Amino acid sequence: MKRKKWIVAITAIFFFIGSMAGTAAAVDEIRIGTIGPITGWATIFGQGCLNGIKLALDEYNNEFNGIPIRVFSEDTKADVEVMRTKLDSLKNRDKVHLIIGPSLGHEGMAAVDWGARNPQVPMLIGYSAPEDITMRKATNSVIRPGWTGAQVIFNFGQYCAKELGYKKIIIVGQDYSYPWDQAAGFIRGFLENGGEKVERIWHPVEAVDFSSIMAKLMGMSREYDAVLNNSGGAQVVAFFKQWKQFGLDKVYPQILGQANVPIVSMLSELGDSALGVYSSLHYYDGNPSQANQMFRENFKKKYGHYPDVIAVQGYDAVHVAFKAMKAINGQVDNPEKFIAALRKVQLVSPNLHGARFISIHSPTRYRISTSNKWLKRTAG
Amino acid sequence: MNIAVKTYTNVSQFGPYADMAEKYMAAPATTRSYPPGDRASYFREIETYFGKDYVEKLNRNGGWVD
Repeated sequence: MKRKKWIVAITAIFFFIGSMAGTAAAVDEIRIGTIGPITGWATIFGQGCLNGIKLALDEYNNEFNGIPIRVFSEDTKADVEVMRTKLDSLKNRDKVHLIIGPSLGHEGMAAVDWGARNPQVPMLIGYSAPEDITMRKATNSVIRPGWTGAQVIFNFGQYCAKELGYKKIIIVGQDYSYPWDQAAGFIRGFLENGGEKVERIWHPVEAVDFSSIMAKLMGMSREYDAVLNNSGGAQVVAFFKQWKQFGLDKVYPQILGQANVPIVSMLSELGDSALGVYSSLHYYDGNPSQANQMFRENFKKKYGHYPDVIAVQGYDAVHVAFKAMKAINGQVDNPEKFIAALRKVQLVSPNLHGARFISIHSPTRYRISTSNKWLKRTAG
Repeated sequence: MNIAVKTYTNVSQFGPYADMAEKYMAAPATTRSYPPGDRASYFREIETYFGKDYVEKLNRNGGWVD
């Protein structure tokens, strides 16, 4: 009788161990693809996200439960056709288990179409923010661990109407989907809270000569209260420089900025010309929380400069991926399981003062620091 | 360095329309000229998608209620 009990116990242990092995990771390396512009006019968006990804992976010693993580990075050059080819390469050549990216608006819209055609490849969107990625075009495998362009600016429109008392605003921005989203969110918040009119002036994405626009803004200064610069990168620097050259700082109270205007990577470029700019975003570098300060210092130690929100998105995406991998015991070779786990992740980012991970059609919410007034220039 | 001068909490990807997400998505997607930029046209537009009650509430409250 005693011997029989031992046999039953040993058999049970055998089956337990066997069942554990059945759910454990079956891969000898976890392959993560990253995609975004690493060269060209939008380099800061792709490289910033990639830097955040690498910093987060460092925190995990580039492994998950002893399984090494291999990163395959692809450069889109901000070109959607290039991106599609690179996404195919990540899937077919590199056989990645997960893709993080892309980081530009038009790239995100193309990526969600690619995701719909390739539903077995989980994708965590990087800094790309068009709302239709997770709204009208939402697809199961494409998950947003971040933000939408309109989301962070709805309340800025409200703020400009109610707190700053503006009635008429001019928006000048790059002519592509991300600035359109920012403009739309602002318009909704502004007009629904007492604003009367928003005029949009679009310019080519890579334009740096704004002389004709500056002349137009000068002529409109009698009717409009303020100007919102709705661009990113080098275009912002050129706009701010010409703003002063044309004397527009004398006729408008200040430039309002869309989300990407006063981000950290722009501060040293803009110099004192951006002092007093109002903008809005779900992350601000001055957040005094210990987690943010640690993130900033660790980032600076690795890269020699402070991070901005772009890096935060890459950083958070990796933490989302790890939470999901933990939930499925590292079975990243089972995309259905991996995607389901990714969609369930709830992440409170240490950097976004309480922001939570957004999942498709079940969005949790952000705190938006609407109106980050840049008061003091740093070394950026 | 940026500092926060005002913080809005619990903002979803649908912003102030979180409790009517389906209506929000039924409206046209954002374009370079959508939604309209003048108040009268804009309010006519949102009345189509969000309903007359929503517009009346905005007018009554002078905007969103925080």
